[in-house]
Amino acid sequence: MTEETKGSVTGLDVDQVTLTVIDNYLATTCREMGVAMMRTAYSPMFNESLDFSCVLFDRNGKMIAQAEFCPSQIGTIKFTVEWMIDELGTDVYEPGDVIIMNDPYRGSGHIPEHTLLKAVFHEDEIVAFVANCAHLAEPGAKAPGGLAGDATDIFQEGLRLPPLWLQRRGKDQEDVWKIIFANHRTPKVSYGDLMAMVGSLNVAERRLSSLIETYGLDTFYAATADLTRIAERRMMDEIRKIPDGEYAFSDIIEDDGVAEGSYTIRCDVVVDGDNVTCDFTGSSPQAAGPMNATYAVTASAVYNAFLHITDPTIPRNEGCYRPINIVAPPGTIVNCEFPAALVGGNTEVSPRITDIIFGALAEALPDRIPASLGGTSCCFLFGGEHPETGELYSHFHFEGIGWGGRPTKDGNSQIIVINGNCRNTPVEVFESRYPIRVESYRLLEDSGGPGRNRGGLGMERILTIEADEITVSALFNRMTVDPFGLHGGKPGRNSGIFLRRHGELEWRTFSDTFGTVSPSKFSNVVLHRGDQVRLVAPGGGGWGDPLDRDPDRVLTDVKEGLITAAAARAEYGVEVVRTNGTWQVNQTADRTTRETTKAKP
Amino acid sequence: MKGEWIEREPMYLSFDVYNCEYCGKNIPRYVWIEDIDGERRPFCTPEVADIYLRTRSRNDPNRRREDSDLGLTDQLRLIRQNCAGIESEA
Amino acid sequence: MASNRIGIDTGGTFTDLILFDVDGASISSLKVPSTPHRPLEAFISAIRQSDAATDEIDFLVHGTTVATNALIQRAGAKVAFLCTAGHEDIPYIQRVNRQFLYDLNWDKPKPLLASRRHCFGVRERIDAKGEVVVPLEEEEISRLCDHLEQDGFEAIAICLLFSYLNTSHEEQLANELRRRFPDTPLSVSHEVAPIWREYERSSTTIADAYIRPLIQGYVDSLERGLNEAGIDLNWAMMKSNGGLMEARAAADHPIHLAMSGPAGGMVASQHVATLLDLEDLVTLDVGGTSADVGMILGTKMGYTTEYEIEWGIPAAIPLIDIHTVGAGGGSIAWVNAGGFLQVGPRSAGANPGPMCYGTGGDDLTLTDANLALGRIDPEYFLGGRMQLVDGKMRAALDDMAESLAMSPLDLAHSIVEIANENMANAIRMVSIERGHDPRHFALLAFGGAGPLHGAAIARKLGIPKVIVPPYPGSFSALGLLLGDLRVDKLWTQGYRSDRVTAEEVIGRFDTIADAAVAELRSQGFGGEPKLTYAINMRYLGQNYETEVEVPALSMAMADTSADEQLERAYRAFNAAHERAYDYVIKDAIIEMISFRVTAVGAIPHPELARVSVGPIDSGRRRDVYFAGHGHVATRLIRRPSMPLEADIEGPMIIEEEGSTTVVEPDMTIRRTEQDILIMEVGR
Repeated sequence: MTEETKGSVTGLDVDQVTLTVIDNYLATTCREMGVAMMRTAYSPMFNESLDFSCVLFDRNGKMIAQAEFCPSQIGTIKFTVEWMIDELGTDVYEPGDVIIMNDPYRGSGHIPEHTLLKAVFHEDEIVAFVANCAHLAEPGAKAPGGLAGDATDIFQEGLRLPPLWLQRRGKDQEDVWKIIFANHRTPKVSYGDLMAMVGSLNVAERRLSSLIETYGLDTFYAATADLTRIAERRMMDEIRKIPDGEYAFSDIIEDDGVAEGSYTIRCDVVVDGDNVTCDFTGSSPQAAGPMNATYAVTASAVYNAFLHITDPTIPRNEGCYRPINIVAPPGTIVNCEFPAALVGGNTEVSPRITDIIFGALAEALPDRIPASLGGTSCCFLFGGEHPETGELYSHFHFEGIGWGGRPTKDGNSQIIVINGNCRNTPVEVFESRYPIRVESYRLLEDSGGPGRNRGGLGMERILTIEADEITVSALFNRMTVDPFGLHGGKPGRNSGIFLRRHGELEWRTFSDTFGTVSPSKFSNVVLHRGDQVRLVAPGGGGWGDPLDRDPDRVLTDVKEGLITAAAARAEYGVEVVRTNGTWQVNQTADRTTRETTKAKP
Repeated sequence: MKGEWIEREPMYLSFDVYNCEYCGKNIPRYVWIEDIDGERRPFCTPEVADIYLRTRSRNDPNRRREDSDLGLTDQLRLIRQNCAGIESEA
Repeated sequence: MASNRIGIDTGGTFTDLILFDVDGASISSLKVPSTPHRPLEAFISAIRQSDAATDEIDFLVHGTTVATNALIQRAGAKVAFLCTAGHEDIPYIQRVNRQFLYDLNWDKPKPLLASRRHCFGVRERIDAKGEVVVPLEEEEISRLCDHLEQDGFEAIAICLLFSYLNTSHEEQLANELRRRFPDTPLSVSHEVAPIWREYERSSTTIADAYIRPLIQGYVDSLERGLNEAGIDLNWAMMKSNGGLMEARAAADHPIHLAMSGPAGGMVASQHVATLLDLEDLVTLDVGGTSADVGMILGTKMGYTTEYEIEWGIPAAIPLIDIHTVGAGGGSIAWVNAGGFLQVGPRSAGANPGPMCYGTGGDDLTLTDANLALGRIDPEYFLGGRMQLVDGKMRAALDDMAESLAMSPLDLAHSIVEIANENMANAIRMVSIERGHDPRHFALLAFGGAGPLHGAAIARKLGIPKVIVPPYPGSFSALGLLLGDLRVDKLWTQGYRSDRVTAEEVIGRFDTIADAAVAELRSQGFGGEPKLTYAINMRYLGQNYETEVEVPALSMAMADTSADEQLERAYRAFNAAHERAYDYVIKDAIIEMISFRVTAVGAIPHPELARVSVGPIDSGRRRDVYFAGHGHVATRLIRRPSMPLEADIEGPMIIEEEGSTTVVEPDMTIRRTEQDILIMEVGR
């Protein structure tokens, strides 16, 4: 054990067994909150997709525990709760109070994500806070599903709630509920979801009370302080291991659904001993459409990157974020100013920022950093009146993407974006609820970026509309800018969203058909029975020169249908042939092809 | 270092917040004002003000934050003007 | 004349046999080493070594981990997977979420298929209402069969979209495949798991096909072996839900054997709970690698259908709700990057085993820590079958203790403490998740290491009573003899309470009830079956169903109308929802998603006989370390020698062949006439 790690177990007030015990207990409490949420909530967003996060805070609003939820929410909830407690103060809460807030300009990720906060009391004193952040599928935006690809200000993105009392002393504040119900298209679903969130807060409250009863308040405070100290020291240790220096990287947000032109996000990652500063000065001014990130979203994306490349056993609390500084000039795309639209920031700009941090550190940490992920959530939103029940429905649909090739292995295919941890909705659940048929849903061959380690595959899903009318919106990225490769790897294939009108043969973009400003970001397009939509998710970038990939691995990819024989030849320089039904590498041709390919300028 | 904490009441009739001079974050309520070269500058905490002072030698003038309507599109500027117009009518 | 019933539980290291002599009302147990490469050997050897004459054995129940092991070790068949065209990537796309949030090295789980090319799309389509959109043509089936012929598959799995609503296409396909490939085992999704969510159903069906050839071969070989040994009897296997299934039938439902290991222990626990008049119990089965935690509530076990072969590869079979945590005798103690002591989940298992086994283990384990604290007798481990050695272990303990700046004794104690906390957390998850306070429960501890840790864990959780049953090391084998024949019939179809025709639902219930009873009879049950009914329900708008047991439903009920019967079911759902989640929604529309009838055929069970006290064993003492007390001279006694019906004060260590029970200071223990140990935990 090094001097540094030894340092992390000295100078603590509580013995290490108790600390381990309390740390596990707190994380387990967060998981239990999640289980309660999953089982009782209404929308598939909660119980199929698991798009929520349960987090515990100390009495000053500093994070003390989290569990395996949605990384972007976990990052922003730190700012959300800090803001709520600062704005309201610490002496206004009573037992049984539940506060709700979703204002992105007050630290939330975007309007659909609602945070509920409750103070935990012990003998009349506040000893902790418990919070739950969850994505409500229908937040009262200009488009059903909440993500309007061409929103131009925050007011179009849904009902914006500053910190408000949802319950006082356990009693529903009806006026607040009524305002929410009046502004959501599917109020019953919102009601069920919010009640599920309240239920999970109660679970956490009981568990924390039990912990304090067992160990006493003093030990609880001392333990959480120690755990924070430990997390901070260990993160500092990890940063010390990154070679000092200034590493710059930039990438593009291709358009914003409203204006022409793309936006650049630029970051200088300055590693200085035991802390790091990510300086986004020089990034483009904020976008006219909803492709903006608030400070909290940007910070969350940066934290996400660092948590992925540092020791995963570092306790996840306030301490592990302290050595990381984020500088994001106000008025830029990474710290937009009120009242800019920003709903796509949390789903699209966030993974882009994480990839930029990875890109910046690729030279400094060549054995840890993967190539670019597909980097978009492929948001497809729809809603309308169900032809059979007559009830309004609305849904936020997303896809998995290919992840980038890694230093030692290929990227995973079809995994959710790095800032989320949601599950897809099964076709059987989807079709049972919505008037849409899923014709096909499959991996796309050749979509993984070629490399010594290939990027993961994207996918294609074809939908047929089965209602007379349905309103759709979309928020995709990487439709015109491919996910980058690293160290000689090639980009992954881009994403896409296409339409084939009933009776036609050709697939066309939504800009071609409806004149939307962007082919990948639009809202409130009305489709009809028989129209088909094709969603394409991008693959990950390749890592390392594809000409260095072991021919046997190329052969396996062809056998498995992950790449075509043509791509094997063109990208990897490996000639594969099929004789008597078996694929084989054609050795002689292979060497020549590779040499020829390598010799090409 | 010479500075002080100031408190700004949360506002609901408009949304005007200080941004930290160092990191850019919106500051909810308690602002640390640091006197730098005769100007009163807002920060989220004294520690952050300290970082700013230590690192600003690294900041070249071209990277310093410019005017507050940096980056506003025409559309957003119009909305702001409209809101201001309503206030002045009241 | 036949009057013996045998339970045989095959584990990784040992095969346990429990013999129940019906006439003499006595139980005896024996252990033989397992023979994993030729399972038949240990099986027959155990029977021969028991006291039963081969013509006096009436019934035999077998529990085995062969299915679980094949799934976990990926040692199954080459499966062809047939699904709706356009959706061939269901097993590869899966659910798209990640197991670990911040791990770039994590790999998505691989399906139980050898290649993506083994997924074949069938041109057909059924929609969400169960209506045929694209019919299944004969030419299509023919073309498919031609394809399958070429590749030499060992098993076939079929899962078409919405087959749980409309089985016709799957049936058509299955019939033709059985005709064309009569020797290739076939698993059909609406037979294996008629549930919705296509990935879960596909995964379950593929897993069933994956182990079908293996299980069929296993059952065949055991049958042949029994015949050759001149043993002619009825025999059954225990399913993951604790029910018994006649062996031939078990071979037709292989996936139901997937979690049958812990099932025996739960069945036995339920029996003991009833015996002691305890309504609510938490069960803790601690073996070499892992600890299984379960709950008995209102004398009933909990069930779930969320088994995962590994993370991301589900098998949606009904199984007893058990939470497994990586804490067992072989759990390895290690120091993480932050300098903190951790225990498990990695385990040294039985091979190479704890350091003190002297079989080449290089890591300090929980068993080593227990030995260092004086809780295990190195000369009586496994009844003396194994001698423990402590030289290497003590040196390792010293080294690790120094690096952590603790004394070796503190280290040993901390290892036990952390393992206990991990197990306690598992108990918390299981009980509190369901809204139950463990302080109102008793803890039943068994398995090789359960009784070693039960007292300390109970104290942690505020549980007032610990029960250690007889034969704790072979409790699962005992449970095999306490099971009943059981058939579950499931049917999935959505109905809304405001639109349903009660007669239609109840009529269908009658149909599946009849089918369940018929299947029970086909397994040789001649008595009167007991039927239970359950409906998976949710409030309209929720997406997650809760299974609720409901009062009997049948069109044959003269005094209660169909509508009233459904009303009773809705009331049961509201009550269950409130218990679990603290709220109900008044006047809500309730959706019914799936329906289950369970037919149980009760078979005679052994009674735990009254025992008499064995030879005197007094005066043995050893120094044992207890936190807060330091080393205490602790009384040792062999279990058979313990006096009956007397309250004895701790500290005390009770030794037996299969396990060791620790009674801490400030606790008392009593041995009942039926050889059950009951500990009062005190403060």
